[in-house]
Amino acid sequence: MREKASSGKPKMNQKTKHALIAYLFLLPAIVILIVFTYYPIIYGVVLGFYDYNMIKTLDNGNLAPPVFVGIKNFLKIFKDPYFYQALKNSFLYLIVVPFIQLLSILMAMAMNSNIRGKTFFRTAYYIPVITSIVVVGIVWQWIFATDGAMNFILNKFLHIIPFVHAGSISMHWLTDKNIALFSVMFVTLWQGLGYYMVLYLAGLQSINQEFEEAARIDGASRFQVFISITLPLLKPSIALCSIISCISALKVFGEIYVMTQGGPEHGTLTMVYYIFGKAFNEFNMGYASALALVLAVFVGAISYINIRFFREGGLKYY
Amino acid sequence: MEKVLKLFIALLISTAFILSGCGQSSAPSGKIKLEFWTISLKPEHTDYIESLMAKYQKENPDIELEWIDIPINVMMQKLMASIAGGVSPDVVNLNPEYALLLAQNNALVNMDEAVPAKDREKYLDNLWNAASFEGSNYAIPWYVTTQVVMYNSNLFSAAGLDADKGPKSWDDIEKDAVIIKQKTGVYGFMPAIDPANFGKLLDDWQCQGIPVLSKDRKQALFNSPAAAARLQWYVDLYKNDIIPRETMTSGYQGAVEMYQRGNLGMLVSGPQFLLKIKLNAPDVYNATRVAPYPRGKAGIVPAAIMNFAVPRASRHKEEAVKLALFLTNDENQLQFCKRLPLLPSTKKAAADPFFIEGKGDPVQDEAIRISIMQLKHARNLSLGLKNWVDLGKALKDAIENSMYQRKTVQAALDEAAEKWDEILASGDQ
Repeated sequence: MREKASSGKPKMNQKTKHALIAYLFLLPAIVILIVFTYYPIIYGVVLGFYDYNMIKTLDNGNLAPPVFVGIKNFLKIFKDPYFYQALKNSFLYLIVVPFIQLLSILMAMAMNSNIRGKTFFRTAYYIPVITSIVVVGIVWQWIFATDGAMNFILNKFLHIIPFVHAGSISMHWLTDKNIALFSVMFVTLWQGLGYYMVLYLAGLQSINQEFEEAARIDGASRFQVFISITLPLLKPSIALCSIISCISALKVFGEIYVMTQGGPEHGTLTMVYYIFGKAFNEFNMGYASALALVLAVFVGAISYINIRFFREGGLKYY
Repeated sequence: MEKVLKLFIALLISTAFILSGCGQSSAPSGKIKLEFWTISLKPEHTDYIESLMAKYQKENPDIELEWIDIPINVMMQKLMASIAGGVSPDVVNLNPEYALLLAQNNALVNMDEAVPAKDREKYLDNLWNAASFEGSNYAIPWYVTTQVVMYNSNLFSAAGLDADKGPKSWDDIEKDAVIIKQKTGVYGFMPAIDPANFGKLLDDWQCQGIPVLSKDRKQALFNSPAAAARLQWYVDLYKNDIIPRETMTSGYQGAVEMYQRGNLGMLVSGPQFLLKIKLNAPDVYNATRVAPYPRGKAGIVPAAIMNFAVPRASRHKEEAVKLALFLTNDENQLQFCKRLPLLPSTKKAAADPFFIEGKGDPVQDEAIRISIMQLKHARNLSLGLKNWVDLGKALKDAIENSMYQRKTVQAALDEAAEKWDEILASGDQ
């Protein structure tokens, strides 16, 4: 390189050259991200201020362009009772987060220990993660049907309890507005456990065994080790998983779309399902974009709270 | 370094070429390229559609066809994205509900104007208005079915009912459903009146001879005592646990699934669902008997129609209409109906003896026989009103308020009718 530089050609700094090559390699990904992610995001924000029907055609055969309406869509949102219902349900959905975190940490700890058949269990727990939500939703819809497997099992086994008669249990898992959301949340929990378990397993495996061994030598019990060593050291993983699962909970869609379509009585109407309906059933793209923007603000706020809450953690904790 | 740069430039240029080729509607050979979309026909009917394509392209050497098959639940999303993206299909298979939503947005070609009278006359008069909006039809009818009552003879026998005699009226359906529930513990009937399918209630009222709209189409009439009594009938069935809770959430699909599990006595459905039952639950299929759809005072039955529409965004509208007429002509429709328990929408094909003679499957043959006999009474009952989404919302609320007993049926319908009147008055109907 030195020889070349001395030959009189314009000299390019080695570092600049490396950076340029790196940028060139990144270019295709950046182009794809701009076209398919950032442009739609920016366009979505802009559309929130427009009245736009994607398929409305003018008499001359051209598509009707969006019409600027200022903050009209946002004012409409705050008067919309379905928005409050959807927002409430989306926030209720966050209940799933602590359960999924706790259970997946426990599962990851079990997988991290020397139990027999852990490869089998690890695979088994991960299978729901890679199964299509449509398949999962339909199967759970059958299980939760009034004449489905869940009520059948309850009737089969619970009649041993005094005063419970065989065949008398008929829970309305998906048809009672007060229960349906929790039933769907259970499916999210069931499907997501394996994913978070793997993340926690990676977190656990990065913890130096010496910390735990030292604590055990000092006489700490297993529970004390878990509370005072494992959990604090796992905090970066917990932070990551909490943020991911909070965002997933706030933008839940697949389960609702397949299992309840927002019903009964809007009991499972969540924000993204509502936005989808506004956009693709009512063609009201402007209003849907405004709703999405409001949801994005809430998602941002929740993520910020998560980051603040879990700021301290890992080895810095000590 | 130069090599790397050259490589990337080449990559970018080729990507640009690939992307720019996405929206082409003219085939490279200079032929006109027509893209047509169907709903859920692959892979079972790939050979049928491909044979039609080959025939059409042979007869029209200057046209090249591209067939895209789409599941019904994503049809509207895909279609909207294509129209908005300037790559609209030329011919698209839609149900009346979707076609009317598009017609309201001025997005479809008016078939009353685009199709010559001699061709229009080939279709059954009661079905030509497959997507009628403000006095014009925006789609060409394709296949059609009229509903029949399928019932599980095993459950009928277990309940002590005569399995050879199906229900003849809605009163019979109620009586049988009550007995089946009492004697067997499973539900006898699950009507399609879930809020998402609010249009079915409008169909039902019309079949019962109950007017839903004034003649000038400016006023809702479905808050009459007769309409309220009919909805009250459903409410009582729901309240008394004669119909399952899933009636309000799972709709039609839920009823089919429950019937397949052998947990539903009667299923009011189009004969084409027999194929699904035969495949998924052969035992239930073998026990299935078929009875005619109980006609109400109006003496009509609702027609479930599939049709072909041409988006106004198509670049070859004239050719697209011709293709839609070809796909729905007598010969091609008859050929399709011989594959599936469906009925044709053209006069000549519907008169073919095949529909009476059948093809050797007693259950399906009986269903088709009954269905074709009912065809002359079949009507497309869509109202074709503007602001349909808002009108639908008002009616959905009325159904929910009534079924969940938050309001009396009369109060719920009065409220919905008031909203309809407001919407009908504000939109220039």
